[in-house]
Amino acid sequence: MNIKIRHILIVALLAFMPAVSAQNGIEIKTPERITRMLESIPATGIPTAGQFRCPELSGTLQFYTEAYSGVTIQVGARLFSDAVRTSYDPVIISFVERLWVELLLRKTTASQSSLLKEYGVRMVLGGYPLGSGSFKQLGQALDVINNLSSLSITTGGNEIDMFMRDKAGSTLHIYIPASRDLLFSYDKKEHEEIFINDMLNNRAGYKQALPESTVFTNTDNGLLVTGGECYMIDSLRNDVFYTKDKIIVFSSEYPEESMRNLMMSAVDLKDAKNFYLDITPHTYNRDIKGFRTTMSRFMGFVQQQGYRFYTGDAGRNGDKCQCLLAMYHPVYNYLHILSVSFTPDQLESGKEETIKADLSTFIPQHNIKNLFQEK
Amino acid sequence: MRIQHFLLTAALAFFTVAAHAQLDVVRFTVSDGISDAALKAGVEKSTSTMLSVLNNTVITGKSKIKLDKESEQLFTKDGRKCLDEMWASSAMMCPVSQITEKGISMQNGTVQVRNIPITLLAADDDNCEQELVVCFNQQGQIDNLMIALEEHRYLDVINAQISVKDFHRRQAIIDFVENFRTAYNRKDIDYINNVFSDNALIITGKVVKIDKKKQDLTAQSLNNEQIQYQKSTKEEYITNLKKCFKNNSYINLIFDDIEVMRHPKRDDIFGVTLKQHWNSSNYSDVGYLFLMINFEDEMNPSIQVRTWQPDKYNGKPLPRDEVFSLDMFSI
Repeated sequence: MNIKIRHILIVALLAFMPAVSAQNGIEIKTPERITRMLESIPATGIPTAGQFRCPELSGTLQFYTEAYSGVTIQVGARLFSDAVRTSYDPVIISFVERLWVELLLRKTTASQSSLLKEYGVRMVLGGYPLGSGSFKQLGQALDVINNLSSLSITTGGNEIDMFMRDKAGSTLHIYIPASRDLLFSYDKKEHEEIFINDMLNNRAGYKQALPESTVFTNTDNGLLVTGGECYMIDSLRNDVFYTKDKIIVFSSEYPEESMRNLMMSAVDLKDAKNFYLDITPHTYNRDIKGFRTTMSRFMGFVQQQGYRFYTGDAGRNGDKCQCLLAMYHPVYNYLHILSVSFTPDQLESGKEETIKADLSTFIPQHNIKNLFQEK
Repeated sequence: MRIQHFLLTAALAFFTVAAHAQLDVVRFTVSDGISDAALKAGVEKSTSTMLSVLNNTVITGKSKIKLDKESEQLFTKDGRKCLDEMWASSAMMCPVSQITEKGISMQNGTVQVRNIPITLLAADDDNCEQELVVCFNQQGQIDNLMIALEEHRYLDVINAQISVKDFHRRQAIIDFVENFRTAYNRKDIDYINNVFSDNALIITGKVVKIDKKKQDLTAQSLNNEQIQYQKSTKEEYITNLKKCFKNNSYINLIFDDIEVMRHPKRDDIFGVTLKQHWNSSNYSDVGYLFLMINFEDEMNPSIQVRTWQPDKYNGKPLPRDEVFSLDMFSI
């Protein structure tokens, strides 16, 4: 068997996995999964052909690592061209390339199939899953990738379908569970730390985002509303509220609707900029301290992340209004929740106002069967 | 709404007993649209049986749809799964006893029937009356079921009465469970130690083989595996877990099919049942995990009960009614 594998690994990075210290109890380190992968790659013999005993692997395959804030966060096999990497979801592409390294580190097709099963990933070549029918070896899938004529990635459900066809007409599907935990190299603790660190360092500004829809319905309290799409429950919606004159609501007369408009980024920046959020993070790492940021900065950060926004009125607690912002990522299937508590007069004081907020992040949604069961 | 449904159910049950008539029985007839007589008969039988079984399940108060062997044959695997999933969202029944509808033949030889009236018992008054669409394969087996609404609207209908506050609380539980899972994957024994209540009840099921020689002939002909349950203290559990962490270079726990149930009297007590896939360097298994979580201190929830059961024994899946859940523990 003529095996030609050239593993080009930046071995030096193995030796350098420094931790980056940040404020608020956050310490960015190489994700544990990546550390484990790096440890399992033989430190000697690279790039010896056949090191990973992946039979009939043709062509060349390059391993690479990527760093964030000076720490290694990705190990992958370079499967796709730069054009593909820039045109498709980088998280999904990185996952597939990382998975490929893990598969190559397995010695037999049976153990590769077993890893795919553990992850819930199905790799199907010409209708056959790996290890069955004519799909006997992983190298056959690589042949399709190396001679790619078309690629599509379908997202939005509980499974991501990466579909590839080569120039000879062979087809390869990689079905991946739409789960944050699988797609990212970080576990929840690590991801939360990076998320909060990025938020604290964010400089992106708030952008007012008005709904495209011009279809209005009346509310019980005499306002008009657009949106109407809900998340999981009827009362969590992407609604934006208007007065009868079709002006965005932002007044102490309608505090909940005003806050929900603000959390939907529908209000003007001049109305948003006076608000500070005093955020208590509910994270795995309980050492992460609470922090203060402007509402506009918080919204500016989350606006960039590809979330769908839904808001709801959680009722009043004494004179405090309570509203909820649910930020759902439709591809990676997780949710962040920001819960705020404020008094109506804070909305129109015209000076700096601090709003108490609780933030929960990366709540998985892909594995929920029934959230609302009653005994 | 619930009272109306209760009365409807009670009335049906009463008349069933009083008149000895099977009022749960629904007869479905295809008026037109299916030329193949065998397929038409299959569609009629499958639909009538399914609707009658739904009514019977509601009337008898069973939590799960049970079909006899013959009725099981009226469904494809996907169709059966779909029925169970819809039932898990809401119990449902057919309020009429005689239905005649057209069959719609699809291009690929499959068939649909629409406009079947159905009452969703978990929905509110405005949304409980819905119409069911049933899809059949070419043999007349039920292959798919849909409420004649878009999927997200269907969920809206079922979840219309859930408050934002309740949604938030239940998502906090999912968050807690995900942190708990993360702690195992990180081998973070301190985290796990902190979240278990000091007097937590920990029960672990284990499949054991029965010695057939010691049994009588009747018992010998039955299944030879049973689940034995072992109770341990928090201290014992943590000690064993430490050893497990030490012996495994990696652990990858995956949680699936999470169900969250609130205690009917205690707002701060929740039960979570889920399927746990344990993958580690030395060992893998699949089982049901049940956690009873006390949210009295929202910032520091604690686990009061943890149980684990294997997902199958005697070569069969563990029956759903044997899986531990909140209603099996008195608080």
